[in-house]
Amino acid sequence: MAPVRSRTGRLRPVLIAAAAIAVVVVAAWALQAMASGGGESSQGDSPPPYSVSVKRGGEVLKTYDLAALDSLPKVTTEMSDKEQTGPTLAALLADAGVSSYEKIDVRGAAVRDEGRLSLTRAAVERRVQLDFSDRGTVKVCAPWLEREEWVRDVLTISVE
Amino acid sequence: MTSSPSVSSSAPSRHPYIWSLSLRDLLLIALVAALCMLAKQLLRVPINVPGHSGVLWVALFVICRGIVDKRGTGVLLGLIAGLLAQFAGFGHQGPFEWTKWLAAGIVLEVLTIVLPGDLRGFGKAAVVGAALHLGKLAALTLAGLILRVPVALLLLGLGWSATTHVLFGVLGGVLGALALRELRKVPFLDAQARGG
Repeated sequence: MAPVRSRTGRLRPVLIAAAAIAVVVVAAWALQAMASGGGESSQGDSPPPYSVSVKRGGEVLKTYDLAALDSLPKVTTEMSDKEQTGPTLAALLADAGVSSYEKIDVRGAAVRDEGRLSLTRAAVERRVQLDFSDRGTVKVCAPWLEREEWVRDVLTISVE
Repeated sequence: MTSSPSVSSSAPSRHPYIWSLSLRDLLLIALVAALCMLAKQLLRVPINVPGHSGVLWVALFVICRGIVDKRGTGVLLGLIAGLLAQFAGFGHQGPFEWTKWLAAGIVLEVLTIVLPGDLRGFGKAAVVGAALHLGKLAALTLAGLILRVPVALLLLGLGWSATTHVLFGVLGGVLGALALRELRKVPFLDAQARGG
């Protein structure tokens, strides 16, 4: 019976480590639920919900949460064998009251990409659009942009 | 074949540290670190599942720690991979890119030492793979906090990310264990793993 006991003894730390990993994953889901619940109520310790701000010269012209972005007219374009759906950048800027500009700077969270992209007005008007991601954020993309140039988790769009 | 380190009676000689690394060990660690970068680039495919590229590099981490069985190898591997990622322009964490690789290396090292058995065991390799991949995600999240990424954004999809990181980590760990079993049949590599 000794070998059996030894094997059980060796298995226990592995099982404890596996349980610890499971606890971490559950905690991650709980934090995610807390974050996504932040949009329902702004009170308590929930972090503020995700939003995209359109700025000019540091001044915020308009801030969009996901619902506000969703209410804008949307286009669907196939890019990298996947349909990307969301408002065009031009439509978003027009909605924010931006009529004249020469270039824009898009800034994202830079967690999963460079998180920055500068576009001239002519480039913006070449079907650059937003797309709603599964994470509950938006990205800026276009068929003519390299995938590496896309900005995920967009936070601000600064107009110059 | 060697017996498990945990059941060895001659503990001091069974647990050499990284200061006893040979040139061959160092070359192997550097090679694996470079292969990790290559694997990450090769597997960066648009399937929209976070952590999928970890399958290969987690396996490589496990293989490297299994072949160079000296304490501290995991940390050194993480550090070299981190420096490569930082200065070769891989990743997007700016000045903190190296931290996720180092975190993975530290978790690999700690669990390899703490858990009994060696990395050819599927259970241990799976747990180590999952934990080190999760360690990388934790470092990534921490770097986001330091870089002042909005907390709401960091937490969005964190549960999904953690789950997929664990799953791909388990897969990578098991692949690593499988590869280690085969590699240890090669006399030269088996001798390498035993510090020969």
